[in-house]
Amino acid sequence: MTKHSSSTREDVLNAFAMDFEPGAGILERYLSQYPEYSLQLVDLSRELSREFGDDEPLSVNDLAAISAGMRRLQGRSATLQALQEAPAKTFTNAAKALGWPIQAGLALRERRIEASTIPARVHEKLAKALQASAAVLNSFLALPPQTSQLRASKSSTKPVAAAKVSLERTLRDAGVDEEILSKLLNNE
Amino acid sequence: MVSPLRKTKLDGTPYYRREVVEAEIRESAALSLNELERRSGFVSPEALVYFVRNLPDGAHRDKLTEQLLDRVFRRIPRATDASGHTESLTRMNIREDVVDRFVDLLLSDQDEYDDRLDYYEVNFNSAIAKARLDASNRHWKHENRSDELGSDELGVSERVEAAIGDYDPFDADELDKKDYRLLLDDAIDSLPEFQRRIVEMLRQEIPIESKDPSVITISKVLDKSEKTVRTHRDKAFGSLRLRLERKGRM
Repeated sequence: MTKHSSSTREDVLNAFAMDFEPGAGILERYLSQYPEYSLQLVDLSRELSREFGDDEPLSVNDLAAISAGMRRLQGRSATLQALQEAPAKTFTNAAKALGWPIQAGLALRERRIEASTIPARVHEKLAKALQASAAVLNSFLALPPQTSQLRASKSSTKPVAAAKVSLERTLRDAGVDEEILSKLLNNE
Repeated sequence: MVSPLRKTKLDGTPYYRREVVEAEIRESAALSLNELERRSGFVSPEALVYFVRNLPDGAHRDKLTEQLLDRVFRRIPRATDASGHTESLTRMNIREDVVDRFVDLLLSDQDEYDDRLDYYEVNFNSAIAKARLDASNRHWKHENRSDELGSDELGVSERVEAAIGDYDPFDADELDKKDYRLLLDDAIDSLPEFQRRIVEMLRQEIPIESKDPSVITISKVLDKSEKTVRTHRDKAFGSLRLRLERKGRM
């Protein structure tokens, strides 16, 4: 699906920017067709006429801003390694975004959820919440299950070997009731 | 095949890349990723946007993205003087804002096709000009800058009129010189908003007044009398002349 900006003002100003040629009467045409945006059109015409100097090296501040931009862009798509090293909060936040209880988030972190039992739409939302691709999420969930040593040592029950279970079972064990469970699994 | 753009024009027809950009993309797409990265400094910004949107995630795309952000910066007025000192904090904020929002757009497009990025493939410089305007509106509004506007009663003193004479900042011979155009831009930036708008409309050859009511005039757009517009045009030209002469001597 394509995102559409609904604002007509934006469409008009962008169309003007795309059509603009200095001294070609374009501003006049747009002013007569869209008098409601006249001041913005004049201001945009000013920006479109602006001259830029020859290439000079960018400043230290500019280079730092480019690095920051790159970090934001790269951080967007988590790698398999990044997911393995991610703190519990990453998973509990993702769980929260999907309306899951915190225990389900921890089960996710420890790869105790069988990937094939996650409905496609839920899988998609989960990948997005973890800022990872669907493929990375699948590879992550395919890794052997893990039991947190820290949490196991605090448990009053005898630890059992970690095993993968279905998403439904994970949510049920975390105390999610039937009605909510059905909604979560059907992504409603 | 180069994927077509999805953004549509006001009449509903699709936007197209310029033919020269399409050809460049086709040629560059035939190169190895290493070679494309090596030549990235010579790729047009429109084609760079295309590759950043369409290449798989990885080191090559990162290099091209860095190059693209560099191009964005080069289309935003500097906030520092020749010695690197910050001259205008607002200008600096505008610079960062434009780049930040461009990164937002790239992120949004990675998530789901964002047709707003199509403008950058049609005409990168114009799309950046629009982004500059948006950022400058946000920041100047924030600073609450206002310009004083004289009343219709305000006359032009003989002294000012004499100083202007037949002075024309848009003299074709002068405008041919890039250095002059750069100085002129700087001088126009220093004008109050009302005068800046008059100057821009004059530059686009819009008349101050017309007997024909169907003609677009500066007086109509700004909703001010012809006299007020002329007064402020003269003031603006006076300031431009002064500034340009001063700079010219430097």
